[in-house]
Amino acid sequence: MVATGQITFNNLRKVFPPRTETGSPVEALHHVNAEVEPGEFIALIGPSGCGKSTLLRLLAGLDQPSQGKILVDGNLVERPSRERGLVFQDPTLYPWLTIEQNVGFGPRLAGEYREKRQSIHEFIELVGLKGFEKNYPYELSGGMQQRVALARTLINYPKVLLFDEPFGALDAFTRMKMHDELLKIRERTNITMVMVTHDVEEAVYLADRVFTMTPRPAILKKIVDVTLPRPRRRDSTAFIKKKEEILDILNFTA
Amino acid sequence: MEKDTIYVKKITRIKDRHIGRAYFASIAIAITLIAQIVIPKSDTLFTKALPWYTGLLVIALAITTILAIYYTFFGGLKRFVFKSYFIGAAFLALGLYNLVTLKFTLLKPVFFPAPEKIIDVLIGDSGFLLKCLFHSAQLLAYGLGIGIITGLATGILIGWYSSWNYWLEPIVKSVGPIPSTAFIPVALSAFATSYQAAVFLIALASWFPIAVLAQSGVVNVKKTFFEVADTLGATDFQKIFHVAVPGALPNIFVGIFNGTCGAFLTLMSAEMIGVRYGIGWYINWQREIMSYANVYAGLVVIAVSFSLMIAILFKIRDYVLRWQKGIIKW
Repeated sequence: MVATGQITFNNLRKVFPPRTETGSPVEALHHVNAEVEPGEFIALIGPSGCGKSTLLRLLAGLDQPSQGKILVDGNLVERPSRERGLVFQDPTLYPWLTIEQNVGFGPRLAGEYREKRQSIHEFIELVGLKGFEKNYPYELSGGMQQRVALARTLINYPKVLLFDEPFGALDAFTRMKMHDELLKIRERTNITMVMVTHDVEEAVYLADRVFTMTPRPAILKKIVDVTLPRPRRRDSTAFIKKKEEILDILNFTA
Repeated sequence: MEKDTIYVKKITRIKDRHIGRAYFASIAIAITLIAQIVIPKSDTLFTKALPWYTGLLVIALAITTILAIYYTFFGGLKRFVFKSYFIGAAFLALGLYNLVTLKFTLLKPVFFPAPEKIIDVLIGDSGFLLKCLFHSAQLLAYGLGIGIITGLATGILIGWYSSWNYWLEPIVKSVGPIPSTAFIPVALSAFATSYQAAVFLIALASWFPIAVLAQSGVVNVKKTFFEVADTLGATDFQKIFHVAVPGALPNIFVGIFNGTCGAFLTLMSAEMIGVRYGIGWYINWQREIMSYANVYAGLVVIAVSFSLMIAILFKIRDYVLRWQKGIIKW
């Protein structure tokens, strides 16, 4: 099987029109060039306004770049596709559907809900929610809802999985647990993952490479390789060093 | 020892019960019944005595007393005990009305018939009343059915497509707020039969609130719901039926509820302007021939059937929106 999920950002620029008539256009991304290898885990990190969420939305196909292009496996990204799954900070589960129906939403759209019944249950089990198939989202905790959102995208077998601060709303313990589960899923599926975060520890714990971004101008400042062996220990000297290195790039250390 | 504790528990449980409240209904009905039996009929009335009102009170007294006694010994019946005050008060009010009509004729007997006369109509004229009710129900079903379908279609189209919104919204916003009864003259001349005119008017009355609320429902569905659908491979058409419509359902139900109330109103008006048969027509006809007992009987039928319909509508809503539990409902 050929590895898929290779991403190319080619001279990518995004300018938003001015908010007021007298204002000037806002440059949300200033010429980004980068490559992501198949199966790689990339963390996009930086203070707010650095364009990391804009980059993710462009990659998802939800917004169009002002200049430049994004290629996934050599194909131009023009519109959203089930090949690029997206998980928001808010789980955005459809409240009128049960867990089973939420996970089966993609298959239902494709007209293969019945054929995928077995698969739906496997994915619910994969994210550890067996027994909650018939529950409605309001009956689940935030962490559980986020797992459902993950299963909902995974069932489409996307080439690329995009996360926009997926664990930002969860408590610290749930977040750490979700990190390990996410890495397990990644090991099994080998999907390319791109995650927006502003938690440096999260970035170092999960990613193979960390893209540090800065605002004004919104550029990709430096790509930091994280070659620490897995499973990573959050308290190891090398881990803490890596965190400091990234904070340094972002000018957050004295 | 063990027996003692159980005994103590039972005592406290009976003490905990709202005995006074439970018996309030039967006591009130008993008072009403005594007043009916003891006080003689007004000597200005020459109609023959009818057994219905007394009969109703006896049956009501029997039922409430049995329930209250059951409650005293076995508990439960929360709903009955809760409603007991209201039931009692309602019968007291009925008894008061009976006093001012049948017993003392303080109100004009022609316009304010005694309860027993109203019940007499309900029983004696039940066949014809049912026929009228069926006729009304049919007319309402046609009108409301068309109103719901066109209302949903309009609301979804103007909520989703900006081109439809451009052309249709001004029409909805200008025609909609006009009370549909104002269209009676137009409808009567535009349609071949008054029945068709009535169907049109009822449909019009329910169409507007349903369209407006379906639109606002669609517009207010969270944007991210659509973005998620996009990344899961949804087409535009699928986004309407898999995201926009279910997301708008809470609003759509408010619209259907308002539309149904508007439809009731228009149904009554339509039946009073020319549609033959139907419960509104019955009331109007009986008013013309001065049989007010029949008018009241008609009103009772309307009250019972309409509130039943609204109750069913609420049950349907509760089922369809069961995923909304925990969210405040209107």
